Amino acid sequence: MRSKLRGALDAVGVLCFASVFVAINIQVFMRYIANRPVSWSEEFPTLAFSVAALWAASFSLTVKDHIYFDLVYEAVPQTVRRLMTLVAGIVVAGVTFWALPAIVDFALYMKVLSTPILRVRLDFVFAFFAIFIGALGVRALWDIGRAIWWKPEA
Amino acid sequence: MSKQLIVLIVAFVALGLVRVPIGISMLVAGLLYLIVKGADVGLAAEQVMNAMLQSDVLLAIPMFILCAQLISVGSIGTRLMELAQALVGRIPGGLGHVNILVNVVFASMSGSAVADAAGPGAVLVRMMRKAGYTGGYAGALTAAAATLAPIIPPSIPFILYAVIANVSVGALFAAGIVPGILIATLLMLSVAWQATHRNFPRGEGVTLAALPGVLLRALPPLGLPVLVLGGIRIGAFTPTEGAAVAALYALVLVTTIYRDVKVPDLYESFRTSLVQSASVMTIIMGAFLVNYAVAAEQLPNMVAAWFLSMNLTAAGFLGGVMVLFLILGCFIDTTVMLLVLVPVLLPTARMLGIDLVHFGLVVTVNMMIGMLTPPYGVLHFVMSAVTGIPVSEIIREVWFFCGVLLFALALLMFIPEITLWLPKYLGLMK
Repeated sequence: MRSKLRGALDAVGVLCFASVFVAINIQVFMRYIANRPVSWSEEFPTLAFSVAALWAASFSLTVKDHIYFDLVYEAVPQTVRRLMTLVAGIVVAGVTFWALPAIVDFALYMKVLSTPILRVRLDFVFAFFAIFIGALGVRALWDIGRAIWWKPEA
Repeated sequence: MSKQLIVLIVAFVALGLVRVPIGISMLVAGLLYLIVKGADVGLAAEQVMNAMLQSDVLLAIPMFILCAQLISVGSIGTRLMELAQALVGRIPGGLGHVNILVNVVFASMSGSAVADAAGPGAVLVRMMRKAGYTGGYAGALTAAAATLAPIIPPSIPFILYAVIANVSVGALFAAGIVPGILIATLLMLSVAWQATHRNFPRGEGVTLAALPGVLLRALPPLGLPVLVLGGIRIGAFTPTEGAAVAALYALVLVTTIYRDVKVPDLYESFRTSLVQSASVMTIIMGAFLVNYAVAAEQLPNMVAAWFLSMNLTAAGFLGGVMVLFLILGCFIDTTVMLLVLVPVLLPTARMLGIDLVHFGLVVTVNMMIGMLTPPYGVLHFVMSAVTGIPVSEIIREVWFFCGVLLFALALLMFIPEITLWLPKYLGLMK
């Protein structure tokens, strides 16, 4: 069940990402081969990629996919690692959940603006940043749980 | 230095030390900065999202990542290795030269040293070990040759630098070509020198009759860099369009011409590219926020005033920056150095009259050396992870190549024309 959900979440991001690739190539094709430049493809790729990247950062990226500095973590015993995970979880969860209401407010406020060509309301786009910050907080809570019921990563 | 700036720096360093991913450390530190400052935290969304939505150039990064992924899943690598072996395999230390040549060609299609080390690098190490080279030497040489990826265009660090320094991606790409060839030549000379001193075996070449076949098999992928760089040079493509066309070219090659990639492999290529892009974007988002704070605190101007008060010459400043980056590069991730430290130094470089394309090139070469120098040389860990060779064995052999790259860096630093000649000749800069 969990892997199916994960696969579905991944697929949404991949679809969005693939649409960026297709849109940029359509742009080149329409300009040079069809000789009929289109304007939507100037705007769509940055919108779709921002959504895809935030979506994947929220739901697809594992710790191992990130770039991190683990010289200290690898050099200390399990008990210290547990403490490090706990402290990191508390700080990240604390800050992100503190910041989240203001970020949601800002995203909602952006409903007054829309993109110039496709007229996509910006609150829709900014909402993905709020989702990302929320996902960071939830993952940090998970880390706190992992530190309490200590289960080292495989 | 204000209280909130100290909080930002301490939070970033402390979170990084307890193994919070670097991008998230920067984001959280940036949020904490806004909270302590009493500013509207919604500013974080504004800074990050506006920067993402307004930077078309950044889109080139995921497209080049996708291109590199597509190239690595099919048989393109094997075809290029056969060609390299046919060209330089027979000379002493043949496989060492093959390794460098293959990395040069891959560098002209991908922009990430880690991707090249993990992709063709793993296969090259296996080939070298089979031929009798030690694992440590094969791993160290492959790691050193992989540093060519971001120097020979396309290059992800160049794209990031172009965004922060507001210089032309095309000029930076052209600026990387001669230094890339210079570094590859120095690496090949060093392999030749070691081959005679350490009795490295000759590799297998191909017969003259078989050469046209090998050439023909490898020809289509070699069209890719020509198409992309040529397209950007004549102004047909923006770098982002060039990157997407390159990915399309690779997709057509592996699906319709070579037909060695199945649909699940393709899906996985797109998925992996998205994950890698999202990982880079997390760092970029964090850097946007940190840079907002750093700029709001006037830190770059303070640093510039400090440097100017020391009456430094351009060469003195450049030398100091290089030493600083070499030291920091042993411990700090290169993307962070590029996105956080470089913006702080840019105003000084500008005031001292240093050409920003030249500055970008030497900083990138320097950071690549950082990826190779122990203890935190990312490339050792990547090589060790994909080949199983202990990091300590790679480190034992890597110092020699670090020396070669440092020599190249010194040449590039003191003779800017090596870097600037080609972009000037092509009319990409004044």
